[in-house]
Amino acid sequence: MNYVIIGNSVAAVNAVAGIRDYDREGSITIVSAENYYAYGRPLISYWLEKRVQDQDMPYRPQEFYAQNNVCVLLGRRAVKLDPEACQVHLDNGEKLPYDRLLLATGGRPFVPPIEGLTPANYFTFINYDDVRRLQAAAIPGREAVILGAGPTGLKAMESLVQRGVKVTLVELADRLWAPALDPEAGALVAGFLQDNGVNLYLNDTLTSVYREADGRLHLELKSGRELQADILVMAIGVRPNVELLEGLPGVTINRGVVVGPDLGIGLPGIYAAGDVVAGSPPLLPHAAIQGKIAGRNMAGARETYLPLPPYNALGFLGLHIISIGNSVANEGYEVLTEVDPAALVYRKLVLKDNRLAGVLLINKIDHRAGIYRQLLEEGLEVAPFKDALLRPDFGLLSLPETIWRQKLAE
Amino acid sequence: MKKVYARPAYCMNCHLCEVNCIVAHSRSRDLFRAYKRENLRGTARVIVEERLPLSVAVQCRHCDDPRCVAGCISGAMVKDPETGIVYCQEDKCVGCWTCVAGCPYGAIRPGEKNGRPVPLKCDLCREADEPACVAGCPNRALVFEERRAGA
Amino acid sequence: MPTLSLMPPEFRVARDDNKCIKCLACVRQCGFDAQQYDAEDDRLYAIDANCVNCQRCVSICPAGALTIYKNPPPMRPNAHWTEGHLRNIVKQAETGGVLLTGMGNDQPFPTYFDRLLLNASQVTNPSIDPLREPMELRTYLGSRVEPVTLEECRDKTRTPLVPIETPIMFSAMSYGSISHEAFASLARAAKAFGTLFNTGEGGLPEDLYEYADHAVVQVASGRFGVHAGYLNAGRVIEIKIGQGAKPGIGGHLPGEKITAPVAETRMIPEGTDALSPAPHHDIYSIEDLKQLIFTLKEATRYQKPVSVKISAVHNVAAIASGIARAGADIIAIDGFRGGTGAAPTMIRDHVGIPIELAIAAVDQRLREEGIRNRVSLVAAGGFRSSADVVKAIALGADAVYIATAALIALGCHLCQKCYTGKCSWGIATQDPYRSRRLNPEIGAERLYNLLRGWSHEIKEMLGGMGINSIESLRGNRLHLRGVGLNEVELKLLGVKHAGEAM
Repeated sequence: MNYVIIGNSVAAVNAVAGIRDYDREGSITIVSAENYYAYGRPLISYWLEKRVQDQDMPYRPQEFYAQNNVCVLLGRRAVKLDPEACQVHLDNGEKLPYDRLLLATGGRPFVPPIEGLTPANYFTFINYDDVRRLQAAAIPGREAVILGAGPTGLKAMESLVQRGVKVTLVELADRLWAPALDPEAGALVAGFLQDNGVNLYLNDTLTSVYREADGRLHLELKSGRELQADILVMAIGVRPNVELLEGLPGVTINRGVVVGPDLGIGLPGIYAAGDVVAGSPPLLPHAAIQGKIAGRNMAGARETYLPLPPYNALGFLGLHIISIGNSVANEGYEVLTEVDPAALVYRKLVLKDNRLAGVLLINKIDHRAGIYRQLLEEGLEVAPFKDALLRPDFGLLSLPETIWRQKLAE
Repeated sequence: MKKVYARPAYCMNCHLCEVNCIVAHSRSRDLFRAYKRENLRGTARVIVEERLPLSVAVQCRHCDDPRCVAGCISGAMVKDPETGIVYCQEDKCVGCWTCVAGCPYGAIRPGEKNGRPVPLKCDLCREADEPACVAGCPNRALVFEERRAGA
Repeated sequence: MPTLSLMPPEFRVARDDNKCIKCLACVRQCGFDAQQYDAEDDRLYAIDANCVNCQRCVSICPAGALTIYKNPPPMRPNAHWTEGHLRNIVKQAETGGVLLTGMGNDQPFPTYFDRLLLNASQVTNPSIDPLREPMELRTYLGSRVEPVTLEECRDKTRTPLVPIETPIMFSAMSYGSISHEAFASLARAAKAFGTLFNTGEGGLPEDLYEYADHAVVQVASGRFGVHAGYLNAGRVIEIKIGQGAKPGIGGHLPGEKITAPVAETRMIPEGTDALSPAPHHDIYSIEDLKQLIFTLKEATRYQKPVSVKISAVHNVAAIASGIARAGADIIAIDGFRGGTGAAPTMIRDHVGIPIELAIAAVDQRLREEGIRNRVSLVAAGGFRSSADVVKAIALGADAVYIATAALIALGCHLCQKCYTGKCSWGIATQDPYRSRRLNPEIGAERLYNLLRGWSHEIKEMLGGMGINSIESLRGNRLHLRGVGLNEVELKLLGVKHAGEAM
């Protein structure tokens, strides 16, 4: 069996492991546009603030590829997919035949058309090369504007602050990280950022940018506000890399590529995993799990990927947040909270029909977060122990006895 | 694989598994140094949950498809393909705590060691023949055994 | 309640802060709320007055940071007004109640075992090495009729003999007075070693019927848990008349200990007090006793030997003779050191006679009457070692019952607070938080080890005397010599003084 994987990040590496669970022999080729072996993509902010060094960036040890008998084509781009011939065309003209193909092409930063915006006057914050470029610019005392206050913008903010750069966050929504934080939580976190010297402009966005004579950027916001900055980071979001699939009959594109329960895209032998998949939250655990399952299925298994609710752990400047599922919801849901603004603690459980629908934990996160996530994913009815959910001693033993006994026997 | 199984009927809530775990994961491997010099109180990788009279030690189940490994952003958390042990290469951990949100059993806690983030989770005392919690349980409420075939 | 306590605490808890790691195991394990933790100040401290010196905290502390000290006596030394008396008086002045206690008589009465020494072979008769030559500890319990005629062989009313692999059995401790875990430990160990345990007067829990073949099932004045299935399941039936720790006194298991499973086993309502009358109200004579003995034999088709257990009291020999003549197969005699889960202190400490004298007197009397063969004689009450066992058998016992020694093997530290139900060792309690501390797997192993060690020692002592079977030692008082005993004591025990030749 001849496996080809396009992409070389978390989904790809996990697909290799998935394939090797069932097939020790088949040849595996990875086509990597980046010039690096797989690295923990979210580590880039840690790298920028020097908490992680180059040698600690690899997601898997160097031996991983050799041990799993994987051929990696670094710096090669797949430019065309020919499902008829079962071939992938590379940017050097080579044609790579495959029996099974995985599209793990991920996404790219979305950069909207803005007056004056050119690649020369902004940074993105998604891969190793982005932070290598940014490193040179991020000098103490300089000022940066980050467009977008979601996870990417917040991590960029943290690393720049740690490097001594003065940061301003501009966010179109009425609060930070709007898909995860409700207004109260957003205000809490906004206060925390302001206390840490970060400027925050909400309900606002960039309308034009130009470079002044002194080399600094002049930014105009929708509100009419004008800002000066040395660095502009675009962190609005990502778009799935689906170019290879565009126009192929039998494939449905809905921003990302639509997959079946086996993660197949509708063409024989072709699967997709990670951020390129339509409707899948662009989160690392999801990419890893999809990669593993897709890999196994490519090798003959018949595993099903049940769409997982989003869950994300995000920490910046010492503040830790875990968001699971629909953590924003309020109206129409039952909401349990534990709030201690002085300690920046906000713990919120969102329930619908006595089942967990969302969880938001700020600054007081512990092992219970995982139990909440599991309850949410399993859709277990929490009515019998609802009162215990936010208690400090909530744990596995709070669940019905048959359930915890079974879990402990696993 | 051999795992630690709790037998709640015999757990007497002494929490000595936690103490033994802390010592086994200390630099000195010495009770007094671990607590008094290394200040490791509260860093056990096994947690005794209490619903008195019931108590039970909860620790990593070393899942076949571990969520903590899938979610690890740095590649620090791994499942050893030989032994099946899920453990964290602690010098690679950056403390994002995705593993904490991933664990279905609540068996990973955020922790800190020598100023570095460390996910506090059971590693079955990888280098020992028997995990310290099992070896030190005074009432055999924890056993280390193979209960089903496969990894 | 008095506002002023007239007595300082009996014990002091000393904590070595250099060692204490504040793991709080002591706080979680103290059964009497003596060990305390103040979370706000992160401070451990002790309420000394609550400490009963059960040593649970000392044993569990991983740092070895704890010591329990006896507080100095509260008054100047006084050989007559001892500390015990003072404490009792003060307690009664406060409560107006009967003093209660647990375990056996702890007063400094003489222990005759400590005044008896064993013989050994030298030159003229060879000793036996039990590691090289066979050595028989198997003991048969029951009635032996002699001479055996063909007619008697066909006698359908003869109960079978019951073999035990060592002359040591576990004495009666009821489920209710001890935890299910302790009870199960005894049952498992008895089965594993090939001896018997004794249900006491609380019946046999349903889940332990698999051990019934190794059970002496008791029928006491309260008749708790007695039914046809119970009687027929056991190996031996025992009518409990008396108990060494409280001769003439009934039993009272308070309602708090009658949990649902205990109630089910005892066949009484949950939470009600289990009162065992002092006498059996259907037994006021030897003839009445005979009726009960044969009622039980009839109920079990003469398949179960019947034992009658009495306290060692002044007239024990004559009573034993009557019991033998009433048709009992086994007589169990419980000496004044025998333990209890609860007894009035004054009764425990001042009623009954030493088991050594009782064995000698009963054995002598039954021999003189020519009916010794009709019964096995089982001695109980404070056997501390294999040497005590050997001496008891040489004095005339067939086998012994041990209970206090068994509980010590399970962790008991003789704090004597069994009657509180708070046992920190999980033994004398029905509180599931406490009882789960005693894993029956471990308990059974420890009891098995104890039986194994003692049995091995008994073989060594027998071999030294040149005897290769425990039955050859029974009543063989020539192997005993007294030291420091007066002529009356020597005569009663039927032994010569050390230095006297055969």
